[in-house]
Amino acid sequence: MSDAPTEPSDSSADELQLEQLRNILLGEGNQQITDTVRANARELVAEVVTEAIKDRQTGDGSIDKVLMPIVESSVDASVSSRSDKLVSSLYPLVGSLVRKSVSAFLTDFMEKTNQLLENSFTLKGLKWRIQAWQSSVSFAQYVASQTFVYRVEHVLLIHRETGLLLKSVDLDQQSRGDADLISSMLSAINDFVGDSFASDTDELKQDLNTITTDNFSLLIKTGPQAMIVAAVSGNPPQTLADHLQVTLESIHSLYDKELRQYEGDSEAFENTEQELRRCLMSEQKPEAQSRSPWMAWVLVGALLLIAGYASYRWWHSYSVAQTLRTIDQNPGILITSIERGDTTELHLLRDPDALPIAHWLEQRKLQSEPITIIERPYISLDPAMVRLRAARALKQYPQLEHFWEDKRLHLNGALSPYQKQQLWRDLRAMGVAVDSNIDQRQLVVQAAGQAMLPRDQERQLFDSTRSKVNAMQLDFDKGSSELNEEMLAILEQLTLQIKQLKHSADSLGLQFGLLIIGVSDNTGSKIANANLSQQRALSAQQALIELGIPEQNMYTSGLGQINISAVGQASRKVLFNVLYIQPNTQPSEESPEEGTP
Amino acid sequence: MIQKKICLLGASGVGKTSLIRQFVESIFSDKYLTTIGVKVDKKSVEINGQEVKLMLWDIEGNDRYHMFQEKYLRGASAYIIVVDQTRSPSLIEGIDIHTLLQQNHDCPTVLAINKSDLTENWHWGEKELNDYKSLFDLSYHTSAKTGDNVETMFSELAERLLQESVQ
Repeated sequence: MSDAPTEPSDSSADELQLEQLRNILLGEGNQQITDTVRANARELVAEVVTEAIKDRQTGDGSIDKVLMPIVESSVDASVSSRSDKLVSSLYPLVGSLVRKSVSAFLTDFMEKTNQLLENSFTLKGLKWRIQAWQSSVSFAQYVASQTFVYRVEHVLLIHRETGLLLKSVDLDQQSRGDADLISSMLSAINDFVGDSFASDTDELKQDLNTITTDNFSLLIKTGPQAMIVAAVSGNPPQTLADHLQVTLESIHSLYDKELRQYEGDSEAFENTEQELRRCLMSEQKPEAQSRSPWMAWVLVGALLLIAGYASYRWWHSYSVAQTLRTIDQNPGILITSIERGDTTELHLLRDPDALPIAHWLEQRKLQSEPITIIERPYISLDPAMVRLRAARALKQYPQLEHFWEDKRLHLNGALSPYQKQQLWRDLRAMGVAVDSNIDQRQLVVQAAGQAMLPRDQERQLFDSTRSKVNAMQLDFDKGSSELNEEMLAILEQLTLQIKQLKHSADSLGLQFGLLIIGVSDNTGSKIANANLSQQRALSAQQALIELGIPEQNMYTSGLGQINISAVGQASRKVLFNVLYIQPNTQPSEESPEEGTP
Repeated sequence: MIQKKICLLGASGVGKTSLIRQFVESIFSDKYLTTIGVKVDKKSVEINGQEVKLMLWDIEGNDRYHMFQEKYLRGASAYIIVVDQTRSPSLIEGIDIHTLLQQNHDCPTVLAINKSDLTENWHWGEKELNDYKSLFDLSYHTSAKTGDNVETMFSELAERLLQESVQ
């Protein structure tokens, strides 16, 4: 028990001893530790300084706020004292910076122009102009109020006690009203409201939070040393108020000393600009953002439609023109030019006997196309056209038969000399080369008035053809039975005559055959000459068979040499003779043979 | 740039608003418009190459029975008490205001005896007046109408404030 009272004094004595021990070990006021730490301060701080800065910056982001003015003033000092060094470091950057700034300017300019155009020339723009005029605010302000849910136009940082403006930032660099006066008046009003509505002195002073007009709000956040005021168009959301509050708190913590010792010099607050600028927030109306540029789409659509229609029109007129070109393939039609436009102009030359153009268009189903035909008549020498015209001329002479072989007109029948003259003139006018392109060997020209019975005419034709055949002969080279080109031509001619003869003979009821007689000159042996002459006749016969004369209608014979002194030297020939009979009469007196065929 | 808040106080009708108008806009009007509450104006003056922006708080004129609007005086760098030399009571009121202010505020004070263009019409003798003047740091006989001493008063006040802030 006796110890009990001494216990407190014991413990205080312990405390004292401990304190003394502490002083011995650690030094007065922890001097030893402080000295030790100070001695190694550099190493200790160096170890953690980067991490510490990083952690603090992540924590409340205050590092950059502190560093910014320091960096700015360092750069400032560097610019003023060592500008050449800075210039050489910045030199490589300047070009791209200028380019960027120019392009940014252009983009901004385009955007503004576009907006101006959009707002000036649309119905909406006009409506806005009228409404802005009615509510007597500037058009720009009205557009902002319509386009933005809210937009902070102006932020003021005001010294609470004096009402003096510390710093202000504007959205578009042009201040509306005098920021100094606004600051003072606002703080006067705030003081007035605060004092007027405080019920008793103990109660916290009331502060203004918001002042609202029709389309403008002042958001006021008041701190112990300063207030921040944002002039906002539209309806500011709570997030903005929160942001202002955070900014105000941050300024208070960073500029506490400056605010407390403020004596009218606002330069210390120049660096708050960054933070105040972050308060210039805005939000566009969603419809304004998501609206589709329908006017542009309509325009693009219309342009595409026009382009599509134009190319369809071009393609169509091209294909019509291509089709029209084929009209040239018709005999008697010649295109001179095709001009494509709204209507296609077709310039052409057309023979009056050629196919009518309208008819051709109908065949090609082009009659509904806008085609203008400019047609000039001409006489075509196209064989088809010539034949057509010749047929028309020949219609007047029903007794004449005609056919075309290649470009030659074969005429068959009888005409009076006058008729022939007439026909020749007509044919010449129609483009028939009468001198070279008419075969008139079967044409009998008789004086008018001696008109023959058709049978007599036929007989006459038969006789004349027969005498022509009889007059034909082939001349061979010495000792040869070969047919040369000239001989073949004669044989071809002969074939035609035989065919004509067959035609006449059929109509007259005659039968006929062809005698082919080979002869030779009188040089060499008789036997050889006999063979040679036979060979010559056979060559001619063979050629005629090939030309289409039936073999059974021919008879060959080699006469051998002809011992007639006047001609015997050169008689290397084949001669022809036509034998014919009237089936119910005797053979013709001209037949040199004894036997009948 | 340095900014200073300066309050103008005094009985109603002594010419506070007119003094400010003369100083800021160089305009004087005979028409009397009473100020309600407070009106703020500003003007920059240059003192020895340094610009000082004066924020001039024109505070509603007080009469004897009117509660003094102290709320507007917070943070002021100086006060100008304006009195009217044609009305004796205006000086008493001015001195009352000054006495009140001295209790709470320690800053330069100026006495502006206004309407110097008019004939003096009060019973204060030279000595009495000088005694009152000695209560103030600066004192001027001003005329808002002719502009007499107006510019001088504000400039000298600004200069004094600048000196103070340098110290």
